Amino acid sequence: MKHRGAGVLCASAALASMLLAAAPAPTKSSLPAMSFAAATQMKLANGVIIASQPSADVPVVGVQVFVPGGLVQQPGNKAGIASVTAALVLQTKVEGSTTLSQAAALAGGSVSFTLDPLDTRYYLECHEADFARLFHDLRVALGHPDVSQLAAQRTQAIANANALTENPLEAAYAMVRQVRYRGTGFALPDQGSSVTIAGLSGADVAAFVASYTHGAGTIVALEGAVTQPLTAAAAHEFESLPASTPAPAPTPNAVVRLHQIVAHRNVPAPWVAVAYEAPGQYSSDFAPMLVIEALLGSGGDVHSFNYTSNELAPQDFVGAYYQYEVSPGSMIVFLGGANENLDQSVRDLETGIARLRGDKITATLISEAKKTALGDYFLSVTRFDDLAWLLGRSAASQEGVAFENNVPQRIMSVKAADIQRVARRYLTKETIAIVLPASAGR
Amino acid sequence: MRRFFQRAHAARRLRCGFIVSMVVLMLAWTGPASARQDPASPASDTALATQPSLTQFPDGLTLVARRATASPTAAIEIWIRCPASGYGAPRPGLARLTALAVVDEKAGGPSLREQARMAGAQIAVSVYHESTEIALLTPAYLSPALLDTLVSRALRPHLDQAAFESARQRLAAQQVASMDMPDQVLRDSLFAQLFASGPLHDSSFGDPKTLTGLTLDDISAFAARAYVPGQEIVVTVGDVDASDVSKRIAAVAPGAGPLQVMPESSIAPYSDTPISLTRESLNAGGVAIGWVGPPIADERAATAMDFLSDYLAHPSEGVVTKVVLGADASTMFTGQFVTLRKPGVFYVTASGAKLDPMLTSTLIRDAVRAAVRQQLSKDEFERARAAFITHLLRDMQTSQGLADNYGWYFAQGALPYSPSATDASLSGEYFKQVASLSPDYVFSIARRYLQVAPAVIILPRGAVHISGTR
Repeated sequence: MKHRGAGVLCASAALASMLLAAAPAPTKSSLPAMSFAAATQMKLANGVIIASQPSADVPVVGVQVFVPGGLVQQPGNKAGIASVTAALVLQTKVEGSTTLSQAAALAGGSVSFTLDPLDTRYYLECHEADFARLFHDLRVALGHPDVSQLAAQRTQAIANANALTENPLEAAYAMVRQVRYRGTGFALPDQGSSVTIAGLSGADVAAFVASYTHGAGTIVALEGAVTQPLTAAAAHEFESLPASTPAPAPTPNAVVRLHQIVAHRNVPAPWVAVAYEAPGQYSSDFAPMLVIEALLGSGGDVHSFNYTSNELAPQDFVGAYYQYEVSPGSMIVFLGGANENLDQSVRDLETGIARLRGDKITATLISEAKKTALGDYFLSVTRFDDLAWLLGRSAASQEGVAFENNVPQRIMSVKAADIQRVARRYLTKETIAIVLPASAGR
Repeated sequence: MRRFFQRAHAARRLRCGFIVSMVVLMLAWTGPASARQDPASPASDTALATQPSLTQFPDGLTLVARRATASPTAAIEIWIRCPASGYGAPRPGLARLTALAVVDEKAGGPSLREQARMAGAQIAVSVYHESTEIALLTPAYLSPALLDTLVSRALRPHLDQAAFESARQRLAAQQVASMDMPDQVLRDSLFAQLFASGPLHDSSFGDPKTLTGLTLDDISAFAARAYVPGQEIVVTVGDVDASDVSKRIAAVAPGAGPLQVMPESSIAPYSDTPISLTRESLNAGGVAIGWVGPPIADERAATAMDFLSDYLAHPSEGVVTKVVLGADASTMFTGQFVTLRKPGVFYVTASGAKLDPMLTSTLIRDAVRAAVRQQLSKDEFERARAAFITHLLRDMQTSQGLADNYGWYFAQGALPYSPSATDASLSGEYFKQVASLSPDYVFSIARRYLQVAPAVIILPRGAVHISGTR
């Protein structure tokens, strides 16, 4: 196991494992040595966390800026405000008549946003020589998105909303969230609806910006050719944020019974999503649930259904999807599409879930699932954007940046009893969302 | 420069992975408990230089081992320089069938594919006109063991009937899937139009008829000729110990074999009269346009074409890209200069449910003409070159990105010219060539290669047979 470097930032870096960790400390038996590059973090006086993980492979910097305003915090009648605000940030003029998005692109870089349950992430990637300028542009746009573009963005958002509504996978995911996250903005469609978007005003945008403009909850996570001057420049940009805390995110109503919801779409074959409660990423049950995800057969990583500025909605997703960026999380298994024996697949899943809750899973199977979970964990973070995402999530944990290296150790420590316990605790009271072909007679 | 076309396969791989997993979960509960140990092969913690280590073994095998530390993963790849359609009379799909058999060969135990899956790694087979790639992406701590497995199975493969049958089924499925991808269909058809013969003429997927006629003897004979050390490179990039890699490969490297001559691909006489595909189309219309460019031996000209490709057809910022997407944002547009021994090819494809192929063809050709009509101003050239360099570097941020570039340029006989053969200060031949570019030189290359008539392929929209048979 490598030691995390004594980096350029002294800081409160190792809040680390000595503090009250939500998860058990990893054991150090015969587990494989592995670690991410050395990372540091510091907390500014106003609460902003700056995390940094340098690597010298290419002179490119990637930075994720997390602001504490995401899907959960959207008011019920303002669904879509998060995506419209984020789109406005990208279209804000920052260098004369050049927008933030254009400024990054002209330099060969890019800037994008992703809506997460509890925050909005802005990702900037560029040559190290352009970083200070473009990062300043991003910070300015974040604080003052250009509302003169609101009408155009509303039109675009409505088009996106209408398109996403037709996607059977998005429809199934939305139905699941509608049940399991009632009482929060996460129960609403990522993209909003044409009705709510049409009603969004400049004042709504300003209110949403104000809701996330706080030191606490803001995280800057830097990857790549990060140097001390670049980190200092990043810290300087955010040191003027108010030293305040955002309003607590609403919590969803508990799911107390089974639900089955049906919708119709123009699809050739039906889709089914079967959803269960799951632990969040900082829970002590996180690692066992990652192994369960591997046992079920992961269909993709936690980003698979993200609403982003630069990715299309998934057209084909079969398998388990573990949404752990919100608490409680969800384990959703998608079945269908081209699968002609959907009934059998649902029965197989139910049988599989029942056996996870039993005690007949072999050591061999668990060992292989742990390897798969470990592989999925590492191989899902190879690009700077994913590495910076994980770094930021780790920095926000009670363990600090050490979190990202502790998770693999915890995965390897998972025992059969952990799987059974976690399955029994979470894999009940399922929500079933069914998307049927719209054609008559089916 | 080479880019990648693997995203379209991702969903299909995930679906297969899930089905396999569910079957395992359904069947394995009743099996005996095993005392199999968890992976516990600690990776070396030795500090290593970040400079790539290039080794040429006595048998001719080439090794590049490069340390990259951004993520605790490693890309382990074997590239074989070989024609996709074989050495004699063309048998399209032969190299792909062989490579699929290599990863499905059990050799008395789990296959390479199964071992990768059980270890939590990912395996991919990519077959190009003049090279085959077998690649593993793995957590770094597993890389020594998986490297051993990969080189022992793939450097000098021995194939059996079961592996052949498995590979044949996979290739048949891939052939069907490839027909669902308009850009794949368009690209293959364009190359068939540009080249009259040789490996560049045929699709690497082959066709069902040829596949039916191929046997275990065919792929074994092909492997014996193609998979010889002098035509192979092992590339490891990531959190790996270069000296350890070298020792491991030296221990298992096979004996030398005779080098084979890559069959030539002759340029066809073509005009810019659009050729309509006669097969029944997908639910999309499409167009492909291609220009023959400089060979890789002319490094400066090839680099200039890479620059032009980026300027014209970058996925979001290319000037032609913007014209095409401005007309219809739902269009799938791709474009690149493919660096090849002789000659390279610059091509673009556009496809979409609403796309009018003829109109789009005109749109693209007009946009290219307008873009290369005059020399770029010095300021615009400098900005575009800086953006080009940043695009290149961003593509090289992962172990896979770095490894793939080494493999591709090895296969084209120009390993030192690989963009990956550089460091953070952008030393290396490729970036020196980029630095040497000037507005007037790039303009001269554009005039020479892009102001001539291209080959044009049209994929009619809707279920239409242009041949009139229906």
